[in-house]
Formats: sequence, structure tokens, C-alpha cells
Amino acid sequence: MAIVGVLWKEMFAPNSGLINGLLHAAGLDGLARPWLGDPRFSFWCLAIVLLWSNVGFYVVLFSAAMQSIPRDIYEAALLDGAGRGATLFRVTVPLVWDSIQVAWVYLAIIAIDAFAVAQIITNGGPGYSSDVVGLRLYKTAFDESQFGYASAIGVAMFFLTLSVAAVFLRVTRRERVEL
Amino acid sequence: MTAVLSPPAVTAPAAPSRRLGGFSVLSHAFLIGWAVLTTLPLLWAVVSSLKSDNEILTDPWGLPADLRWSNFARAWNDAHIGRYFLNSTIVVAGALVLTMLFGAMAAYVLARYRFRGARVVYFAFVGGMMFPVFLALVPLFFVVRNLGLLGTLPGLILVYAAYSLPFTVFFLTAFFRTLPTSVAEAAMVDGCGHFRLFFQVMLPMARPGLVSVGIFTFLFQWNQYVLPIVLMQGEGAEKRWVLAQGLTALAVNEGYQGDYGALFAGMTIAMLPVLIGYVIFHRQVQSGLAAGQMR
Repeated sequence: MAIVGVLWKEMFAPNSGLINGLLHAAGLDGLARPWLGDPRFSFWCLAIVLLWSNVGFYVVLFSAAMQSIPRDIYEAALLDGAGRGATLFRVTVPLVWDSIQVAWVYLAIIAIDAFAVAQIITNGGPGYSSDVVGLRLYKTAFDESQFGYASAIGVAMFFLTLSVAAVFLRVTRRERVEL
Repeated sequence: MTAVLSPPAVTAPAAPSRRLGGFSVLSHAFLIGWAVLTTLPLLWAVVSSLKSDNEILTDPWGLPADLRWSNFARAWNDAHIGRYFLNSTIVVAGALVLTMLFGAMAAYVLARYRFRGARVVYFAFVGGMMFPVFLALVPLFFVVRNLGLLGTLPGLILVYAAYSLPFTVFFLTAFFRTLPTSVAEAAMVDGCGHFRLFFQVMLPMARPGLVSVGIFTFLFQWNQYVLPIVLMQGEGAEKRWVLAQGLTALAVNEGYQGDYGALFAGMTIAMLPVLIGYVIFHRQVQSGLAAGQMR
């Protein structure tokens, strides 16, 4: 995770970064900007990095879940005249629903802390534009030495995570499909 | 999660008909595009690690005029990446051994022996899984400091092992329960003691479970960032920094010293173990994920 942070910090660099390099090469000089130095974009840059670094894991997770679906179910669906869309939404998604639920919860937990990426790439800045809970906790404790306050943030964060997970599981609850 | 991968055959199970419609072309183009997006930054880091500083700063998309392997030497020696690498290896190796040994022992006893309070102990371990690292961050700092272990490698090893144990115990307890009891009974009849039974019979039988939980523990510990930066503070602690921490400090410092080649070389060195490990173990990682779904 730390490596991802360092790598993307260089990607977003104003002059030597790959992204502005691409924009210059494409002749879109007007779009190139100091991505991390602009409060309007710094937060979204972090979001993109989190997206980029997590997709691989979920591809593996979902493909493992999909490979455990028996093939005859697809044959049966095909014989019954199901198209691609129907197969996806009526067969595949219900059968991997458990994985999707777990993925939601897990992703919410990652997004709430997001510490390493935020601390390395922008350190919450400029201003507070890309601050996250984990980073605030760390700064409160180890930069400002307000340890009690930081502990309270930690407990609040725990209950926030817990309630987000509970709400997600509740909202996405479906009838279990037995194979 | 640094184990970045180009998407494996996602379309394979969901492709009952093989005709190449417009939809199929579109989805393949998307997959290829995403694969390029995932690998490009990594390739860029590797290519940049062979460029001179001037090339890195002025021409991000260019190829290096000549290959400067000296960047790697500078990163390894002058930027202390070698030392951080060694520290990371020591910490992760020590913590992994502790986690697997104690985790397997606790899980075995919890799965196979009945005694008063077994369920309480089990739930105490599983409850530990609910704790995010952040909840206990501040108290943990003080505990480690009062033990005099702040900024030392053994302190970090103990903390890593403690954070990894709940998952290990949970996973391995379930695994030991699935193993047949008849083998253990046969060994007991042949006069095998409890210790020999565990180390010579049960542990070898639990090998697949140990391997998959070991891989996850390794990834968790190798990628750990917040624990080292909180715990490796104080005087002289920078000699004992781990790789993730050292690399980040390098990224901050290189901005002032202007040795970008060494920074990218350090990044490449740091990426390699995880990538190589993933290539070797990707089957176990996938089947471990599939098994994790069943619980």
C-alpha cells in the first residue's frame, strides 16, 4: 500500500508525472494541472488511487466465486433462452451475492481508514481537502499529542465502521440461493 | 494491496455462446484497457528506475537513453533501501514464525480438546478480528513504550504477531475441525504423546491450511504501514525502519535532494518480492479466497 502511494505521488507530479506527461503529449496542455496541489482535485486523486489498487483484488475474489458456479446451470439457462444480460443478472449475480456483500463491507472498511494512501500522497492537504478519519486520528495523536482525543476518534471510527457494515448487510440482504 | 494483476479470464464462465458480437468486442476492449491501466504505472516505475534524473524530470514518457543500473546501487546503499529491506525481512520472518506456531497450537487445542472455558478463549480470539488497527493505536503506542520496546524490531515483531493471531486461530480452528479424527486416534493407540501427535501428525496434515493462512499473514505484515510509522519512533529508530516506511521517507527526502533515479529504483526493489510471491503462489491465493467465501 505504501508503495502504491509513493508510485502515484510521482504519477500525479506536476512536471515529471505520467498523467500530465500524457496530457502534454496529447496536446491538451490546458488540462494539465498540479493535481495534488489543487483542493478541488486532491480528494478525487486519492479516490482514483484507491480504485486502482483495489480492483485487482476484487477481480480475483469474484472470479474465484464465479468459478465455483457449476457449468450446467449456465447450460440450463441457455436452453431456457436466457440472453447474456439475463444470465448475468438472474444467474451469476445471485449466486455470487455472498461475495458481493463481503466485498461491500470490506471495501467500506478500507475506504474509511484509507490511511496509507492519504498520508503519503497528499498528507490530507491542501488544507483539509483530502483528509480522512485515520489520518486525522494519527495527526491528533502523534503531531498534536492529544492522545485522549485521538482515542475518542478511534472509538468513534470503530462504531462508524460497525454501523456502516451492519447497514450494508441489512440493506443488501437477500434470500440465500442454495446450490 | 500491492498484488496488482491483469484481470484473469473473467469472461470465461459467463460466455455460453462464442460468437463475436459487438458486446463481446466492447467488453474485451474494456478488459484490455483496464489491464493496460493496471500494468502501466508499474512498468513506468521500472523504466524510470533506469533513467537519469534529467530524463525523469523532463520526459516522463521517454525511454532511457542508456540503462543506468547505478540507480539501484545508490538506492540500495546510499538511500539505505538495503537496510530497510533487511529489517522488513527480519520483522516479517519473525512475526510469521510466531504467528504460525502459536496460531496453529492454539487452534489445534481449541478444535480438538474439550476443556472448561474453551469457547470463551475461542471467542476472545475471534473478537480480536473485529478490532481495526486504528481503534487501539494510541493505547498500543503507550503499551509498547512502557515495555521499552518502542523503535525496536522485537517490539514490532510482537505487535505484528498479535494482530495476525486472531485470523490465524479462526481459520486454522475451522481447518483442524475438518481433519479426520481417526488418524489422531490411531497415533494415540500407537503410543504417540500429545506433543508428537501435534508436531508429527497433525501439523503435516494441516499443511494446505497453513500455506494459505501463511500467505495472507505475510501480505498483511509486509504491507503494513501504520503500525511501523507509529511504533518505530524515537532516537536512532530510523536504522530499524521497515521497507514501506523507509521508501516513504525517501520519497519525501528525494524531493529536496533531487535523486529521482534512486527513488524509482527503490520502488522497483520494494515491488519485486510481492510480485514474485504472487506469481509463485497465485493458485493458493485464489483457492484460499474461494475457501474463505465458504465460511
